[in-house]
Amino acid sequence: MLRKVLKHDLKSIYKLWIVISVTALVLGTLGGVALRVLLTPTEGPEHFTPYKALAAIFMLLAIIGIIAYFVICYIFVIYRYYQNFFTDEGYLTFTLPVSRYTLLNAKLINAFIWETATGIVFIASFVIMLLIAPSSVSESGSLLSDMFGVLEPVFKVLFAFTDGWFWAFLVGFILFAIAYYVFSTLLVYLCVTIGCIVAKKAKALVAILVYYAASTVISTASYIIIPTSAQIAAAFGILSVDLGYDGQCLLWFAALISVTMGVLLLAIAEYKFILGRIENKLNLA
Amino acid sequence: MKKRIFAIIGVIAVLLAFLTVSVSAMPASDEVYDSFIEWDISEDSKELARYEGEEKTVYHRLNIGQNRYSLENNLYYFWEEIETDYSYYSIISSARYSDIVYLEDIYSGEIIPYANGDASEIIDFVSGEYAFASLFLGDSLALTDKDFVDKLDALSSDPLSISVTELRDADIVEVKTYDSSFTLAHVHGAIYTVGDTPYYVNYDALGNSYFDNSGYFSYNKGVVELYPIKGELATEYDDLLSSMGYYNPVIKYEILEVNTGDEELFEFTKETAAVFLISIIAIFGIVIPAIPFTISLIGLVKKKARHVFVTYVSFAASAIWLALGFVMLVLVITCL
Repeated sequence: MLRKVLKHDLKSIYKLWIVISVTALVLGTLGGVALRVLLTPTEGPEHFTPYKALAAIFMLLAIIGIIAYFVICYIFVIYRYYQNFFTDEGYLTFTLPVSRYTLLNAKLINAFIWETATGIVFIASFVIMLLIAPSSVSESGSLLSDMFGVLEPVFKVLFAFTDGWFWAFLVGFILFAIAYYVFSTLLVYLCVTIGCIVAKKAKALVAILVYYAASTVISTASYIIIPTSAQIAAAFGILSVDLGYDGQCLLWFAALISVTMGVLLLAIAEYKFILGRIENKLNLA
Repeated sequence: MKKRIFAIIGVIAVLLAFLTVSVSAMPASDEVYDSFIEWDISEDSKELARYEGEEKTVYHRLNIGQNRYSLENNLYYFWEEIETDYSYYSIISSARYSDIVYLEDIYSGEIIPYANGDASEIIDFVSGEYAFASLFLGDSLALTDKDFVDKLDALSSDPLSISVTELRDADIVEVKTYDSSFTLAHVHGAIYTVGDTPYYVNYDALGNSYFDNSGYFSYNKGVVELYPIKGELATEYDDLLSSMGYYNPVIKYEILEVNTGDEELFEFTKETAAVFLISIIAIFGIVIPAIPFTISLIGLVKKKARHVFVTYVSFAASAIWLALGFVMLVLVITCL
């Protein structure tokens, strides 16, 4: 049933997503052309012609457009959750012979798919823009190659410094990124759920206010967490000298995975809360 | 439900007991510091107070009039920066002579000395008495004595009236005087070479109109009288020039690590770091994950979990977290 619900969710968004993604890619292309005009050196005393001024404005608009695309897609995914559960469409959704569990999982997977796809298109738009950038300002032929040229020695040094632990930390950071993604998506869903339960009218506005309050609490907590983390790092640094290289890496890796598990457990708590609230809705499953 | 709550409380109590025992078993940490040094300036900038714990030392501002005072090649301790109504200053003191503290304007470099009680050497110096003198040229210096400077000051015949603008590019050798601790220097006068003849001017005998706002001799406008150095005095001068040696004018600063009592991070020793980390790991690596671990374990054992898969995931995540907490605890303890 999960597959069918997911298919239905994907189908409801894909047409619109394709249209705005193509728009983003076109903006990336046009932005690249504008960047090329901007960076190409002009002959004569005038370095900033009217064409370049126009190109600069257009490039700026292209960048704003691509960023807006990313934001719009993100908002649309959240809106689908709200529309599917807490509007008139929700009555239909909850009459389906599907468990709440399946409905929520489908929403989560749906969000992951669209946000990943949006992220890929977002990056692709900028890659296109940089590929079109002129070779006259770059020794290697394109600005993109120059960027990779800068990053490559950084990774080489990092790998040489950390040896095999590089891969362990890479896996650790990927796991943390996934856990944090699930946590942040569920946080938004949680705020929407609370807003819709608490308010009878203007549910979206209340949901936004709840999200703002949650963000404020998290950022306030960071004012305590950050200096404490610095103290922890300093203390780690003092003690880990006696551990040797592998001991130090193991200590930091254990800390990274512990934090990841903590974030995952927070995400699970959010999931259970949301599931508990939507289970109160009419269910024929 | 009641059994679950009591079970959770029991687990927390056991773990807190474990935490208490582990912390109390650690050696007591040494005091990092029990006093700090703080500076405060009075509103009229005439008094500078140094507070070291309960002890207070007051330094009084010395009026040195025009500038042309500078710190000598020495080691100075930098304490902190302080703001007054006029500017920002660095508080520094000489490693060689601690009864005097200087406020150095961070923008202009102007020196304002503050003396404590019996700083007679500096007080006499700013009144005009000096212990040493030298001829100073860039990075070369030749020490001389008070007699030579007195002879220069006594020159009064055949004065040369010359526009100061003509002196701008002339060769110049400064006549500097120093206090007996050799920390503060003052440009007393200068010897300009006009044509092939050295001419002396006593800066301290000139009026304020010859100097700019920073106290340096101004070459913009005006006419000054210079006195030629002739005869035996000229020979003595030439001998001093020949004897000039390399002199490094760089002032060395040492920043003292004194706690000002502000939001400085706690300074760890190995023992305090161990206590701190063991506490943090015990709380965040053992006590906190024990809660979801216990709840999910009870839910699974009693088969009362509403969402079994989610409960399994929760149990696994908290178990991993707990295990890593113990790993970190063991690693930290092995460092000791």
